[in-house]
Amino acid sequence: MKTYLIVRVHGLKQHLLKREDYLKLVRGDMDLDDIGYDVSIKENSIQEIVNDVSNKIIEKILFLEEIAQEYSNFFRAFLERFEVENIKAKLRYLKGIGRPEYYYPYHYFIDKEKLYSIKDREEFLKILSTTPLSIKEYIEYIERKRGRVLLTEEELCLDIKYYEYFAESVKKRDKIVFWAIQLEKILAYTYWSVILGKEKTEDIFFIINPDNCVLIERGFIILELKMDEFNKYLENKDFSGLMNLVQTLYYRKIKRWSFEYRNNFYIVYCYLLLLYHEMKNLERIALGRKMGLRDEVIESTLKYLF
Amino acid sequence: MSLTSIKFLPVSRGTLIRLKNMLETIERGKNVLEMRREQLIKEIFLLSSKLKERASIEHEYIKALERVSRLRLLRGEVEFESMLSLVKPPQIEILPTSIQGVIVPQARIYEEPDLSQLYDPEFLRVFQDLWKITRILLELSNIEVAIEKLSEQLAYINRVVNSLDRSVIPKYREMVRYIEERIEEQSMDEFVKLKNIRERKSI
Repeated sequence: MKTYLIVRVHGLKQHLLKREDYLKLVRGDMDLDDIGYDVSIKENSIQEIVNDVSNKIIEKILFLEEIAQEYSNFFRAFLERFEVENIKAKLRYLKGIGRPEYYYPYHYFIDKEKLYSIKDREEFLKILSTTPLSIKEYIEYIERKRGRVLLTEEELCLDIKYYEYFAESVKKRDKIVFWAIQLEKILAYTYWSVILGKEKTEDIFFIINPDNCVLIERGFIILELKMDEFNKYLENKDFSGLMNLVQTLYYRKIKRWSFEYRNNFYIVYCYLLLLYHEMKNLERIALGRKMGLRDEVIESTLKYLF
Repeated sequence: MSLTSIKFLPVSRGTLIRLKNMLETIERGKNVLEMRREQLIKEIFLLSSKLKERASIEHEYIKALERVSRLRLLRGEVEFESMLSLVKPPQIEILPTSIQGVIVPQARIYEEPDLSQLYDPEFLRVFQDLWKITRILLELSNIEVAIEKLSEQLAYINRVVNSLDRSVIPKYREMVRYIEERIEEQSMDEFVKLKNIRERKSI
């Protein structure tokens, strides 16, 4: 089934939107209902659009899951990134001033109604502790160590936990995808080093998985990123420069691998990333057009993985 | 005393004195209103000079909004909305303020927005920039409202001064002149009458 899955993915890749399609959408020459979505940028609200676009990508991934049941955990783990974003959003809503809550339409471990109904952080962490994304023990550890836990630290724990869960789903099946996930983890490591500082970030990374020490070091070597250079950016507080650098190196690497391992399971992971980026790009275009932004502004926010 | 009723006043010295007093009061009132008009014009010009920067401030505001929109696009609706919930919005109240004796509603910042929960430097920066420029824009809108209200008052004063100048004062002057003439005629009449009586007596 793995071979069939790879062949199928090569076929499906041809149906992904191309740069010209995005530009047509930006300019308004084409609408979402022209490319198989049930919504229209002109007629539907942004939430309806995001829901429909997300649902379509979820359906596409679930379709792949049906083809290769043995990789079910991997597909589910990839989809979990929606739920992680929902959980992070929930943590912010619980800390915030009580605005209307809005989430991605993917609820696997935590039921939609339950997610909306939770009003207390402790209760939420308790529910979360019954899932593979449990961060309760780490939060308690940080609380014991520092006396309090910041929202940022909770989100960082969640991010690391997600990458652990995602990497674990493929660790024994495909080494390349495992390392690709480690590289993705370095993106998160960079982001959180900017937010929390390198020391705190590393501390939490190592608390959750002591192997992260070696994995991150190895990831830096794969990305051809020198730790000294990384530290220099942080010292100079050139945060956007650092994020740009790491992102560029990451995209370059996964693009190179997509050529090297084109007949490997890695191509499935690439396809999922492309789908995810397509969803994000469509969300950006819909939002941009709804807000009446200039075409150039919308275009500048679009990301082309390859 | 309305303008129509002065036509029916009795022709007497008392009426003349009363009318002259009223005319003097009206002219004094007109002078005061003219002085007030000048004051308001001066104040409006002073405030208008502050509005010169409006174009550049609006441009900055649009740029700040564009930066927020761009971030919204980059981060997605779910993250943006949840990040917004960490921001406590500013409290702004509208207070009636007196400018040159004219009551003008002015927006005052009662409480600054609380961005302390925002940890993402990019979000923090764009929201801080947006608030900084919104504050300036708020001051500008206060000035605009003040100019609008002062202009309304100026237009009202202009109407009153014009009506005094072109209608009320000329009518009073006309009436005073008329009564003066009538009194003159009456006194001439009386003089002639007395002269005739004296002549008859001497005959």
